[in-house]
Amino acid sequence: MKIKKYILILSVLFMFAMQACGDSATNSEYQLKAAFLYNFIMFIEWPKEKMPEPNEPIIIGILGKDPFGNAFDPIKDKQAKDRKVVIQRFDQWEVIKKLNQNELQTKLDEIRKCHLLFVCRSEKQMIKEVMSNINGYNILTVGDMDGFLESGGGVINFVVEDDKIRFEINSLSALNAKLEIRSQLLRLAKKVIEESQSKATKNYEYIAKYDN
Amino acid sequence: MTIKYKLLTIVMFACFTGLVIAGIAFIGWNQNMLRIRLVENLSTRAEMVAENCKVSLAFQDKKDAENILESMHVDAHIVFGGIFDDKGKLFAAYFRNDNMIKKIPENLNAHFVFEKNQLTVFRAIILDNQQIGTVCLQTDLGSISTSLNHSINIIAMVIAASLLAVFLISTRLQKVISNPLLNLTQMAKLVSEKKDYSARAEKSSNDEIGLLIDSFNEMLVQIQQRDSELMESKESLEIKVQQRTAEISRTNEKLVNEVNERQKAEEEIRKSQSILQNMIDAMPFGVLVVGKDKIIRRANNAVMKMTGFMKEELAGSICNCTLCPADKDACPIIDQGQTLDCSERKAITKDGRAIPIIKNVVPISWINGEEVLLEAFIDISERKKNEEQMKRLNAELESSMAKLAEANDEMKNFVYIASHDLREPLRKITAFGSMLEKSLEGKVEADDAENLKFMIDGATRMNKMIEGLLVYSRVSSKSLPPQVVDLNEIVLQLQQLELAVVLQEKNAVVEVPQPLPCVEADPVQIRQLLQNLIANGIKYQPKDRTPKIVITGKPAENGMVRIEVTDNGIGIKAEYLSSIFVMFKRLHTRTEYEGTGIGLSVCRKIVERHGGKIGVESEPEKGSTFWFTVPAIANHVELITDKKTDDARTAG
Repeated sequence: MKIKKYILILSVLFMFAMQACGDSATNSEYQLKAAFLYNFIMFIEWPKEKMPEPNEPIIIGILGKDPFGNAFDPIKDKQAKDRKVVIQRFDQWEVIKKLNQNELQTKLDEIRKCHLLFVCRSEKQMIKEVMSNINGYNILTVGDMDGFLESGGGVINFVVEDDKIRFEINSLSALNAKLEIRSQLLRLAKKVIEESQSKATKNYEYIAKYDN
Repeated sequence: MTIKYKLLTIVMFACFTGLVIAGIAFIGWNQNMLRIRLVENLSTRAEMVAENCKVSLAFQDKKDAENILESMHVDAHIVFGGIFDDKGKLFAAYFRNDNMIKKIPENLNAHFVFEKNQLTVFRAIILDNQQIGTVCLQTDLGSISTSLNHSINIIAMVIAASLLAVFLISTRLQKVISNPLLNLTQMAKLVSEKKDYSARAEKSSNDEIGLLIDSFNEMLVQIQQRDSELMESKESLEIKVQQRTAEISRTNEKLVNEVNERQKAEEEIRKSQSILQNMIDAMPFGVLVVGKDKIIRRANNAVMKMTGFMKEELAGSICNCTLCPADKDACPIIDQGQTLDCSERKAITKDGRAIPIIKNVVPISWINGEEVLLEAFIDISERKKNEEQMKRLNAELESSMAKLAEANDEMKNFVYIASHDLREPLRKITAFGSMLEKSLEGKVEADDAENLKFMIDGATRMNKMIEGLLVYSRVSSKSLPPQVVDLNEIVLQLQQLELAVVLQEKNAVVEVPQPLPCVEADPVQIRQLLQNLIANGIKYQPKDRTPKIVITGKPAENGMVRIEVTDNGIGIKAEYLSSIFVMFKRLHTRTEYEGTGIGLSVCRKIVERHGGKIGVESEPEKGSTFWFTVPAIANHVELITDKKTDDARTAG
């Protein structure tokens, strides 16, 4: 039965290895995603009233169960648009919802103050509610789940394709949020949801940009 | 290489150099421009790529980045395009699809790098002030090298075309410079070959070449001058050299001859000195040789005999102390400068007597070349005595001569008177004899009558002779001073008066073919002279011949006039020619031709009195020519003299 033992030991080892592997993969995935979040800032134009003063930071909010861990550490001191970038973490929407009125309002204000809000997978069930609460505050919403773009306010959603992190864009949501997305970013998007009219415009811009 | 080709070469070379430099400069500038432009273009392209791939790099979209780089294929020269991330790791790349060795650059900080055959340009990809990567583009330099080849080809063609044009133009234009020079050269060659310095180059312009031609011509003028001078001097030099050579050889010969001659001459001198001494000694008269210092050099035996001195005593003594008592410093030749002295002097003998001598002194060069006086003298004591005697005799002679002249005059008077007085009784004899003959005609015997006739005849002849003598003596005693006489007139008068009867009787002719000259003479005597001669010519004629007398005159020597009277009579035999002018000399009997024998002697007397001459040339039986000369008139004499001098001048 020695063989069974060996097989058991090997399989256990393999499992560990897989676990370790999966952890590290998740880790590097979120590191990349963190960097992408930073880079999104560069290609998005907020309306003037939303843009902070030069001495004030650009706020990235993380709503829900934080998957990043220490993924922001390498880019903690990086600046974007000549401003500091700060990470603000928020509890899961379910938790926030249970707060009293004042606290909830304060939290909502804080959330609404964010320039970019990353909505974690943990909020998949509550996404529509979250979106309805932050609509109209010129927030670039970035999700990490299926159907995020169709949630009524999601602008960018991360997808994995061929082990590569790609993203999708809903330009209508962006338009509603009064966000201006650089055509270059649109070019990279795996999928862009938009009205047929604006799609044509996008294509045109794409070609124009490319030629330059 | 002629100047023509030199000029052409210079122009061509200069043009070629200029064109090459311009071409190189142009190509260099062009290449530089092309490189700058290439860098600019590539930089722009890299910039574009950087801008476009910003997002690709930001979101790690390699495919997008590769798509962007793929667009580089439109430029065939782009070899490599690469995008590097911020860590210098190659993120995306594009390679041209060929075999070129691809070398991925390592140093990403440079702006651009030119390598052997490629250009690499880098551009930073900056996102929000942060470099997130680098774009690198590499291109080969094919476009530049193609352009370089094109430029080189075009410029080579341009250079070739320009050189052709320059060649054509300068071939024409170089003549402006080269032609005058070539002409000048040809001229110079001609001059140097033919040595013809009279040639001149033509001047065609006023530039330096013109100046050169002017200078050349001037030089030629000078050379010509020099040349001719040189030739002249050369010729004269040659002549001189020849002359000198000839002279030298002559002199040399002469010298040799002279040396020989001198030796001979010295020998001869020695000989002749002894000969001379002997000769001097042999002279019958005294001979002294005295030096210019008046010291006697030699004396001969005659001197010793004459004076009693010994030769040794005389030789070396001063002449005027011993021999000649002439005054000191009064030698006629040495002191008084005469060239010759011939005088009577006295010589002092040893015993103190003075003897008269006649001395002849001449300065001569002695044999040894010394200037000496040669004195020759003779003792004239005897001659002196004779002279005195002669003088005495002369005086006697003179006195007897005077007596004789007196007697002569008396004689002349006597003759004249006698003949004049003698005629008186003769005329009586003749006159009375004739009267007696008439009265006794037929009364006396024939013999008596004949005797009476002889008597009368003799008396008549005597009368004529006396008459002749009278004429003769009158010629010498009674004469008129000479005056101008026209001979033509005289001949005419003679024909008409004195000779008229005779001429008519004998039917004779007197011809004067040319007018006779005038003479200066006693008119009466000259008339007598001509009358006698013409009468003679008429008288001595053969019985059956008509007398013809021709008188001609012509100038003669010494201002005389020669008159010739030619007849066609009997002539005179040669042996009698000299004696016909003698008085009473007759060649014919009275019966043949009557006459007294005085006529021609009268003629001679008259002519001689006038200082002339008389003569006769004759050919028996054909005729005689009597000629005489009398003085021409003074101006006629002068005329003759003038003519003579003229002749002399013409002859000279």
